[in-house]
Amino acid sequence: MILWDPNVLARVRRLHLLAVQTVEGLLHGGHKSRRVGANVEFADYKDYSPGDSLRDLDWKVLARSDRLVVRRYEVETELQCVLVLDASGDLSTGQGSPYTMPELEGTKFGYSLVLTATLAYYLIKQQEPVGLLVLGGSGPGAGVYLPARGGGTQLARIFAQLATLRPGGVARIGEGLNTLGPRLRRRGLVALISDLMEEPEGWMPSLAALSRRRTDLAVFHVMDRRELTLDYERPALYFSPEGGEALPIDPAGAAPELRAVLNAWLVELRGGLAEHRGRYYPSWTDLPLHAALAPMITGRRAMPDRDLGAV
Amino acid sequence: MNLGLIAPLALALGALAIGPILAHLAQQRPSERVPFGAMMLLRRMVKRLEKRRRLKDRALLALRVLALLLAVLAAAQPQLSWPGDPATIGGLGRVVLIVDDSLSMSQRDAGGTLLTRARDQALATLDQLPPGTLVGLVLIGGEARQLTPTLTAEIGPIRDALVNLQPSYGRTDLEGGLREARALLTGERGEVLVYTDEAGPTTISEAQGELARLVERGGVVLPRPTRNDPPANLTVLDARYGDGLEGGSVALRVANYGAEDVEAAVTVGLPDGSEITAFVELPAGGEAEERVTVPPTVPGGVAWARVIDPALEADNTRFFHLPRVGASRVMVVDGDPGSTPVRSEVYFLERALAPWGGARGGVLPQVVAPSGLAALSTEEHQVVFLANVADPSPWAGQLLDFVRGGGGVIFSAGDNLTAERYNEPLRALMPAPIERPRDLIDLTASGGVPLDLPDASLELFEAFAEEGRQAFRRVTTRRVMGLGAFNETGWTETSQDGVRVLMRFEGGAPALVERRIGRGRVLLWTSTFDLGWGSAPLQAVFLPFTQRLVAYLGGESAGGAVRAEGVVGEVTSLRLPFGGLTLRLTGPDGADVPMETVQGEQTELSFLPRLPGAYSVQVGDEPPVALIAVNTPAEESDVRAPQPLTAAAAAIDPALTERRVRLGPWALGLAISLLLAQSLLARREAT
Repeated sequence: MILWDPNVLARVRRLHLLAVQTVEGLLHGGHKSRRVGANVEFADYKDYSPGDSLRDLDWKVLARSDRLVVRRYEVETELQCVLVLDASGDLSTGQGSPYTMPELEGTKFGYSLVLTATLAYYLIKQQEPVGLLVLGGSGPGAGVYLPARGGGTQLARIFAQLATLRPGGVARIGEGLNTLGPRLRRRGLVALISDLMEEPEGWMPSLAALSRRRTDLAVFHVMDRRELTLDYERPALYFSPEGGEALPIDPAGAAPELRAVLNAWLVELRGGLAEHRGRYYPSWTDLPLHAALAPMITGRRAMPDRDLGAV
Repeated sequence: MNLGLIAPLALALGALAIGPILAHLAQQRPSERVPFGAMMLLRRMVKRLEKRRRLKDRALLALRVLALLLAVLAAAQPQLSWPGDPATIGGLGRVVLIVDDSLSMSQRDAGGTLLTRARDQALATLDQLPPGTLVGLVLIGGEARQLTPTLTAEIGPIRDALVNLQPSYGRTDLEGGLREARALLTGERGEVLVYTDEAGPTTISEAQGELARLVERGGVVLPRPTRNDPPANLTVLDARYGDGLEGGSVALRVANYGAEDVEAAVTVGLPDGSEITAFVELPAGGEAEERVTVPPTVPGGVAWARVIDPALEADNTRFFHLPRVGASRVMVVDGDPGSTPVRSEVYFLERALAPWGGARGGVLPQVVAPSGLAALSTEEHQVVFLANVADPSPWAGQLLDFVRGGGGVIFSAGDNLTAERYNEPLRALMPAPIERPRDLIDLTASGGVPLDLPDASLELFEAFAEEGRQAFRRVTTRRVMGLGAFNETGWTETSQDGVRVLMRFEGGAPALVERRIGRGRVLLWTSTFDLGWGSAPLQAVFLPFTQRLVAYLGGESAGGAVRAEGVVGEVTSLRLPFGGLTLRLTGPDGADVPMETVQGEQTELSFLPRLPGAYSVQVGDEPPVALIAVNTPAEESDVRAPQPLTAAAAAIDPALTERRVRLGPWALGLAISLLLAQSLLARREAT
């Protein structure tokens, strides 16, 4: 089993460490859990069925109406969270991330792994069931789907999958989100961690479909600053690890044009997400994870994008 | 403007242009490959740039190829040349201004005349000359002349001469002007500015030799054409009276040197002051002929034909000689009225002089008895025939005056003539002394001695063609009047009148002897005008010969003034048939005209006319002994310029009349600029 691979274990340990450090750092200072716990907050009734706990039987109703009804509480409407991780080949690039993983130093994927692990840890810690869907990728974890569950075992399972995952292939975000819809039987949270390097018209409709199911949407947009500012020295043939035609690019000449394209794209993304009630969290790989997670965990506004004009 | 190449072979380097084209087409791609995770954005960018990039690519290619071609062109050393002057007049330190003040420069233009325009340009040039420039001035109207003996730095007198410049009627002496300019430059380099309208079909071609010499000696000829465009001028090229005693017509030849067809009025002015106007349709650049009929009787003199043309008025009038036209009054003195027609000279003379009875003009014979000579008058008569008159001595003085005043007298012999009544009383009149009749053959025999062929070079016989001369051979005579000794200066030693034999009979006997007296002539016919001594009246030649005698004595060439023609600006010469008299030459404006004379038995007279019109030579207050019709030079009327002076000068040495610019440095600079531009554009090239 790969879990016994010392390299994998080391990565799991590092993921855990980073997640704990991040989450604890964020929650330090008396932050309460958003989750109220199992204490009681009446939600509604339902008819008793065999297997229901007798503790939840409403005796007063039984006495008055001779009916067996079970009290339902808010604790039972727990948030089913699925972390959708983009592990496509494009994430194997980048040089700005301080969150290094062995063999993934500085890449967008290294950052994405830590971000995903941190989210998983945080949500498990908040007693939420957490699942994982990997889009693309290579290695044992490629294309994996882990249904949402709670508990440390689930966390370990998620960490193990993340530790064995390598970027590769094509994400096909739209198709992945479409497969997620039938699997979410209840209202839940879908957090997409991706560089979103697919044309939005390919996946935005899928996101819209989830939104119509009242699914809470959060998009962590992983971005490498050097890439998006074309901070390279010499003209070269630029190619995508996912394949396709290589383009000869002179960075000095292309940077202004790319900046304009980038701004237009970000406006398009934000507009589309806002339309479908999705939350957008820019996640620059050269910034600490707090910058991306704090707005979600603490409810603060996201940090403005640095050096990217009006975006 | 011409574009030439000094090193045309360098254009072969243009093949190098294929290089950048191929390189551009190959579009070398960078070799380094960089994995990039935001290719979607790059593809979006490329799509957005694609259109702009395509344009840029083409612009780059065009810039590079153009730069290379310009570099190749620079290597071929292109040179642009166009007609022009040196940048600064006076750069050589010596300037000669040649100003054309010929007749054609009187053409009117918007601001005055061509001459005023040329003068203003010359004055402006004077003002622009660098200080210290040596300047000379030459005028070329009529005869080229220096107005400054040498080149001078004092511009004031030259300016004054230009300001006071007046047009002349002379032809353009460009050749002489260039010669004078060469003399002023004395072999030094200098600029010769020629202000001329270049009019005249041969003005430029005649000057080419002198132009070449001037250029060889370092002269830089800079034409300053002053023309009207399009040219326009009408002129009377020729006016000539048609021959004949009965009146006739004046043949006119009118030219239109303009570019449009016109209908012009032409007026002929006769010596008696009358004028006749006709209209002539003139094609553009062509000529037309018109005939104007003159009245039956017109006094001779200088007439004129004038076309109305405001473009150039100086050549509108052409002067020409008009002979005395119309009914010549001839007095026939019948000295021997015959009993039969064949015995009467008057019978034959009357019919020969007036074959139409005088009804249609021509000669009007007035037959009188010898006493009728008392009515002889130069006002009324031109010729007197004395046919076998026995004693004309009572009227010897009248006859002499008549001849001196220009009249003509013909004595014909006969049995009535005697030496006693002729030789002494008419000594001042008779061409030769008569003796007594002499038989050439027996009077009872048939036939006679024929006339020799007359000398056609003599004025009297000019009108007879070769066949006409032969007709005189049929005139025979059996008897002639014997003549005493005489010579060419007369039969008296003291006489200076000219005497000559105009015609002889075969064997040498004089038939017709002429003596000039004053402005008139006396002829002696040694035979009879009837059939008494000869057969003359019966021969066909008798009638035209008699008519010609009248014309000779009293017509166009008889007794009247010597006729001559001249051209303004050219020396006019004529010979007067007498010598030793004090002559006076009067111009058309009434002023005396300087002349040169060589006196001898005849007088050679020459002068330089400055004005067109009628000139007359007089002895005291007597009627003119010579009339000269002076006209403007015909070539000046042709105001078209068939060969510009600029072209002629350029043909000799193109460098003198060309401005050149070497385009090589410019082409190279432009090539470098284009290379810089393309590099800047390439730097902006994103992908």
